[in-house]
Amino acid sequence: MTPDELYIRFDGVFFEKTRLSMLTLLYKETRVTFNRFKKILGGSDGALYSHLKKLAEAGYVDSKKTISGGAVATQYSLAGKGRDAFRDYLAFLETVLAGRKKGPGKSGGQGG
Amino acid sequence: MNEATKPDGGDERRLDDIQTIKEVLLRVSKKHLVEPYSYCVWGIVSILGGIAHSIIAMTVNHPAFNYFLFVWIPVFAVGGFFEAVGFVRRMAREALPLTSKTALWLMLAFAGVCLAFAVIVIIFVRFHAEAFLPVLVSLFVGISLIGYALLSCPSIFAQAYFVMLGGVVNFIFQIPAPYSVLVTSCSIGTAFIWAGWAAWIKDGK
Repeated sequence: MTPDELYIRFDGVFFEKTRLSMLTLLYKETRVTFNRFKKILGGSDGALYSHLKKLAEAGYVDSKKTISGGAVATQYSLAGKGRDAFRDYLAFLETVLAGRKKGPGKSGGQGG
Repeated sequence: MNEATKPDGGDERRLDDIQTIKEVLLRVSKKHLVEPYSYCVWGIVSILGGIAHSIIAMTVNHPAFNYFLFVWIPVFAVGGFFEAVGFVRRMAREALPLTSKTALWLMLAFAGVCLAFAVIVIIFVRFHAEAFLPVLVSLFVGISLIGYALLSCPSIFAQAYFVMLGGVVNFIFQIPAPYSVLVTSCSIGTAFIWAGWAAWIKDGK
C-alpha cells in the first residue's frame, strides 16, 4: 500500500498524533471517559472535543452518556469500523517495521 | 491537507506513529487498581486477625466457627471496606469507569476464586482436615495474587510467592494450630504491607 492509498484508506484521520493516541487508548481500554483522555493525553477540552468529533464523524468512535459516581459522563468506544481500521493500520505498521528489518528502502514507503 | 495529515513522509512518518502508539500504551501500562493504603489495611488486619485468633485459641477453647464469626468476618469487613474505597478513589483519580474491562475481569475472577475457596473449605471441614486450612488459605491467596499480577499488576509476583511460602512452611514443618494460623496471617499480612509500600513508591515515581 503506497502512502497515497493509505491516506485514502484511512481518510487522513489516523495521520494526526492526538487522534492516533485516542484510537490507541480506545483500542486498549475499550471504554474511555473524556476525563480519562484528558488525563492520559493532556491538552485543552476544546482540542480534545474537536478530535473526538472528527473521529465520530468518520464513524470510528461511538459515544454514550452514562452515570458514573452520581454524575453524567460520556463514555467513548471504538465503533466496528474504527476497530477494523485500527487493526489494519497496525498490520500496515508491522509491514513497515518488517521492511525496516530487512533493510532500508525495501519497505514500500517513499522515504523521508 | 495540512502538514500533519500529509500522506507523504514514508517510513519516518510511520515510525513516528509507532512511537505515538507506544507512548500511549506505556502511559496506560498495567498498574495497581486500588490505592496503596488498601494493601496496607489488608496486611494490618490480617496480622491483627491472626494474633487475635491465636490469643483466643490459647486462652479460651471456642468452637472453630466462632473464630470465623468474631475474628475473620470483621477482618474481611474492614479489609473489604477499605479495598472498595481504595478502588473507587483510584478509578476516580485515573478517570477510569468503575466497569472498566480490567476491573470487570478482576471482579469475575475474584468471585470465581471465592466460590472455589468456599467449596474447598466445606470439603476440608467435612473430612475433618481443618488443620490444613491455614495451608489452603496461603495457597489460595498466593494463587489469587498471581492471577491479579497477570491481569493487572506484574510487580506483585514476589509477594504472591512469599504468601505461598507461608503455606509451604506450615505444611513441611507441620506447625500446630493456632501457630499455623499466625504463620499464615503474618505471611499474608507482610506480603500485603510490602505490596502497599511498593505501590506507594511506584506511584511516587
